[in-house]
Amino acid sequence: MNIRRFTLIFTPYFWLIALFLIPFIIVFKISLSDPALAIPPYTPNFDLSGGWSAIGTFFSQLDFENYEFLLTDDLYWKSYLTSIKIAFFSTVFTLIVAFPIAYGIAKAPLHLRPMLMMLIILPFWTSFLIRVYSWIGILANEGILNNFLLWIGIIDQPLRLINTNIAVYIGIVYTYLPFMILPIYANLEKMDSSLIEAAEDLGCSRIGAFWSITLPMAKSGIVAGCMLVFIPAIGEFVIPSLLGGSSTNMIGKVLWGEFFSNRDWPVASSVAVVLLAILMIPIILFQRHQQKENMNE
Amino acid sequence: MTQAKQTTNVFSPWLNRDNKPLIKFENITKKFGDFTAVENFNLEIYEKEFFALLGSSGGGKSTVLRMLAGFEQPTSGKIWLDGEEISNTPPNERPINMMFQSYALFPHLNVWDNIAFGLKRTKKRMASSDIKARVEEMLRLTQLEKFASRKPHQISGGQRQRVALARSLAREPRLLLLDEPLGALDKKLRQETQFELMDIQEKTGTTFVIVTHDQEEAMTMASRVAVMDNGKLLQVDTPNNVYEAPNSTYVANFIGDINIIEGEAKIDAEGLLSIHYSETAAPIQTENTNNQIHDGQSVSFAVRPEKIWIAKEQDVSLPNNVKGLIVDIAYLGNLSIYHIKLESGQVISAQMTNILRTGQQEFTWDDEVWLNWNDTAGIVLTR
Ligand SMILES: Nc1ncnc2c1ncn2[C@@H]1O[C@H](COP(=O)(O)OP(=O)(O)OP(=O)(O)O)[C@@H](O)[C@H]1O
Ligand SMILES: [Mg+2]
Repeated sequence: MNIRRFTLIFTPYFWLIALFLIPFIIVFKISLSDPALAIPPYTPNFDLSGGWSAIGTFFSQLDFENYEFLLTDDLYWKSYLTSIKIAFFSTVFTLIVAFPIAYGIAKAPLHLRPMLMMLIILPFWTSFLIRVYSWIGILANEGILNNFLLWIGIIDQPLRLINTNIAVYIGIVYTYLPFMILPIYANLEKMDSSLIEAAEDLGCSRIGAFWSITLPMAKSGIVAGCMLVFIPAIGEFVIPSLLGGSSTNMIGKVLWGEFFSNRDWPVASSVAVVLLAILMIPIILFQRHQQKENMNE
Repeated sequence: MTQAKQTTNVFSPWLNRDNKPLIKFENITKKFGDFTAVENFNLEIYEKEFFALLGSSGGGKSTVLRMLAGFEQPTSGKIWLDGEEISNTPPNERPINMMFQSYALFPHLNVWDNIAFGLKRTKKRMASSDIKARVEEMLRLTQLEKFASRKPHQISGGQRQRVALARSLAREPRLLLLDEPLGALDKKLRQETQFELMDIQEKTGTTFVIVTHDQEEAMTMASRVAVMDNGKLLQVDTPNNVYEAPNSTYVANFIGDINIIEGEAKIDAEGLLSIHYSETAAPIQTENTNNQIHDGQSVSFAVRPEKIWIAKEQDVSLPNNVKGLIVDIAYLGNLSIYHIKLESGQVISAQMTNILRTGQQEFTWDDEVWLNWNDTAGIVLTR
């Protein structure tokens, strides 16, 4: 094999190994270790200077205790479930909000589309943290939203929004909306408008044509968007900590607590490894779907 | 003109005033904003016709078709189908189907489901066994049986075209609209498909309205041709009449090649028409078929290249006999086109069939020749 082809093929693998596999092995190793009052805060440490026997003892000290521990305390699996639940419903809500927006932009006059796209991407130009903080100002009991609703007289008691799951949903939908809009838009935009006319010509009403043509054709965009929202939403930490209440125990918050409050790196690492395993399921499903799509094309 | 007189038992429902048209456009105007795409359009199309809309790009052909299909509403005027006004009926409620220029096959459905799509959406629900039978009939008609389970991107362009045709015919429309159905096919496939289309039209007895900007295609297939330009209807007639008796220089130029000589009409005491086009040359003698022409009017004389023949010698017994110089020859295999410069400056093209396979062509560059044509060969146009 010549050197150029080798470099070409190896480069992506190199990045995968450097940025994914090695960090993963390190985290996995920590998850098999025991906590210790030391720096780093776990044992054993990998030490080549001790020769073969030291490596042997190193491996013998690794075990799955931390994973067993995760099963004993219901905090963990409940947090996983909460995360999955919140991620799932946020994905659904995001889809419901994003689809009409993507559809609207795709149907807008050609010269307006770049500007509308710009408006969707614009929020990324300010810090994510600042944007989430501003939601506190909007959703707080004395916040903009409650003041407005009180002012127009729809409510006479401020709604409790901040520090509830509702606030978390709002935060996630808001933050991840562009990730849903972009792939759906890309999909709808390249759709030939004569397909809709053909459907109407063959007896569909406007709505019928939408259900039997537009939606199935946007499917791969919808699936991609859902993955892009669901996967990061499961591990979300900032939004539930800032907007959610003490009862909103998402796994990202638990993970943070283990690392920084408890300084129990091994347990934190095992939480992360299990989270990764859970995330693999939708990723594999997504891959399968893509493959099937490609086979059909 | 003898042709037109023989057409008594040939299919020509438009000649009989008692026949009710299937489609009637009544003073249709369509505007997009300030732009008038179709202007004061009046046209009648009869049952079982193979009707071709012909014209240059942007002439408004697709707009006419889209108004028939229901995708565009006329700005003013009425469209009638079978004596019922349909100007504002939505597309899904018209017994009209369209075959799209881009075919518009549904990419996520296979050939079978594409054809069945319209059958599953009929007003009166069809039994699934009937749908199956109908789809199979369509597949057979378009010779697509083998491809039923393929997706549109897994078949060739010609096959896609047939799927589009099968899909639009499946619902047994009263009227089938075809917008440049053969545009994406190469020349050979086009010609084959033209005959297939005519065959299918005859078998199914459906009325076809086809849009094309290929005049040969229109002439081959159509029972009648409508020529449009800039949103206006210029002429509606049989291919033969449009070719031999165009009503304007635009139509004459658009359909086939033609020589146009501008001059002044003179009508002598016996009513014979002659056209003076040059100070020096003898006037053109021609039959006076157009009674509107008056003495001294400036007119265009139009004559097709194949109606002019080339001779080496002068022959004064012929009504039109002009001297010229061969400036260009285009050899096309079956025939040659000669460009001949007259002494008065006009360049005339004349066509000769190449009947000899070998040997010297009779004429060559820079030959001095005499052009001849009959007094019935050309036509006098006033616009
Ligand atoms: N939706 C529209 N909005 C504005 N102008 C339009 C629209 N549709 C068509 N036109 C204009 O109307 C005119 C006629 O268009 P049409 O598509 O009917 O032409 P055509 O004869 O089918 O041409 P071609 O042979 O190129 O297909 C064109 O000048 C076109 O730009
Ligand atoms: Mg067109």
